[in-house]
Amino acid sequence: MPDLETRLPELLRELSAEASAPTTDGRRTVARAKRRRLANAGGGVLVVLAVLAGSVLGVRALTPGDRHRSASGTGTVTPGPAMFRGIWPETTATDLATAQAQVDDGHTPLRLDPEQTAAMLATSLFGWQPGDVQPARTTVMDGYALVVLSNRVFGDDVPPITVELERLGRTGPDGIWTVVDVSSSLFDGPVTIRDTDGTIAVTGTLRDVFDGSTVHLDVLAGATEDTSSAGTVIDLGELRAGRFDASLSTDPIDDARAVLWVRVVDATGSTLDATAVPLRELVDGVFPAASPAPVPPTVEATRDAIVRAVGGVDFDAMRSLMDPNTFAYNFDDGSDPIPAWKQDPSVLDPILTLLQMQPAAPKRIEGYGTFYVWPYLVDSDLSNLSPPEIDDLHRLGFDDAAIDDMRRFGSYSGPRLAIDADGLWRNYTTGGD
Amino acid sequence: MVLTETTSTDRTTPGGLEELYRAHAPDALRLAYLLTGDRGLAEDLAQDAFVKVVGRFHDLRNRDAFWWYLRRTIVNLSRSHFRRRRIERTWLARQHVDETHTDPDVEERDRLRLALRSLRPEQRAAIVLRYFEDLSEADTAQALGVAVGTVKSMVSRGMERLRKELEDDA
Repeated sequence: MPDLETRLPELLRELSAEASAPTTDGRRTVARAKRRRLANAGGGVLVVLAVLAGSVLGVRALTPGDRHRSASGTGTVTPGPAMFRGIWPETTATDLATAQAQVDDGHTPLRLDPEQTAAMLATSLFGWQPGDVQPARTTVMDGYALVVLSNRVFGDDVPPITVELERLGRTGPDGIWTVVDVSSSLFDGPVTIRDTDGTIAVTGTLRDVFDGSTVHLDVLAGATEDTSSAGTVIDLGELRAGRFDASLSTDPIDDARAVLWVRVVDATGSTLDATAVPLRELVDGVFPAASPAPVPPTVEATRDAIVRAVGGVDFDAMRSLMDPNTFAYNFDDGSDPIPAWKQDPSVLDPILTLLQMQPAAPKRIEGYGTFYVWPYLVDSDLSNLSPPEIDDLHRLGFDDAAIDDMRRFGSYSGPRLAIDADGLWRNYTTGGD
Repeated sequence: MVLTETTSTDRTTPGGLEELYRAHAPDALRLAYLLTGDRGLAEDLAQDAFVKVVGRFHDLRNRDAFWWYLRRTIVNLSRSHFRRRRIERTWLARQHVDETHTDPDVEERDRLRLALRSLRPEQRAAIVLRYFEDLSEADTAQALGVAVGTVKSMVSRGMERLRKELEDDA
């Protein structure tokens, strides 16, 4: 069939004519559609009025995690044990070991795939139908993975959910993946928490408000904790410019780890978008204040936004985080880097690795303001590198010979990135002194 | 949590959902049929897509926009269906047996039906959108949620496969 392109439209039309008329008059379908629209509060049908207040959430962990999000608070900081970075499904090292053993025994092999693990989160916690979960993009680098999930029935107006995962235990191909962060650009800036007398105040802002949707706040201590009867529901209709502000009452429970999940839920119960705030130990029944955050909330929010933008290769989103007139790419001040990045997006790959690490101590630069620079290695003593520092240099692509060269040179010469105290992305350098 | 019903306002076009359904159901069914190759499945899928789109979009005044969303939902549901149930592999295995008994005089349309079913769901969707829905590469990419380059690749490989299948059957 030499002229297939020419003949194909007509052939397809002929073929489609075999199913030209529905066998039913559509009344049942229209009735289903009406019920669905009613349930979705189309035209303002349902208004969620009440707030489930005073919930006993069973929480023993009420300050932010080691890296993600931050909070301000009162009281005395009580040092806790080393933080476990996982937020779902495992929230403790013990849980991780148990889950790994189960996978080793042949159970839930999906946990060996970051995309499948992220999809499990969407179906288990967000209520998405398995067939609706659409991994829009997946990036895997060593033991870190970024999965951008969208729901195929939500439409383009609902931003995707970014799920970050790590192999927190075994690092080889038979190691399971655990979710370490969940975020969405629907949230405008960070969700902050503040604890006062056993009550957590949660504050945040949404960029967009969907009719009939609500914000749900739930604290989960692991993946299996049943919080179906706990949580706070906020009617978005009451919000001003998408801002929400709520309080959660809490009691301690035995589990020493918990995560605050903030979900935007439509009227059918599906989670449109979500973000997670890891919480830290509660010691002796007293809610300690937030530990000093490594970076301010505005900087943390930009860090998360950069991860989402780079992970999704979303150049428009990248541009919105910087001022092209002042941004410095590879020491070239005031040059718009986007054209170069579009030409070779691979130069952005190290960013995802960088931003998994801790930043260096904030640097005050006269005339420029305060900068938060990733990675912390810019401040490391190269003559006395610790094993974790060497591991991180390996993750950034330096072999032992290159590390020796760097030692001789006397300073870190790998990729780095800076965000200023106002949350503006100020520079990215792929390498050099 | 207390749910309180307040008001309900039908903001669809004059004639409401019934008219909207009548206007789009035949096209939806034809598209779903080309994507699935199964009449019953196509009807279920077209109906589900209609319900989903009506449920999600409150303002249905723009019929062109409605069809755009309906078409995209049909494509997504068909892809989801094949992915979820993995019936493609089963179907192809069965089809392989059927092909050995194909009448050498089978009509061109029947050969196309078989050839279409030999394509991967994504390739089939790309080709149907390009050559049946007459969408541009950019619009096809938007409907499928992939890059334009991916559409080009899917259409190119799909057409190559179609040619081969049709030549083999001829």
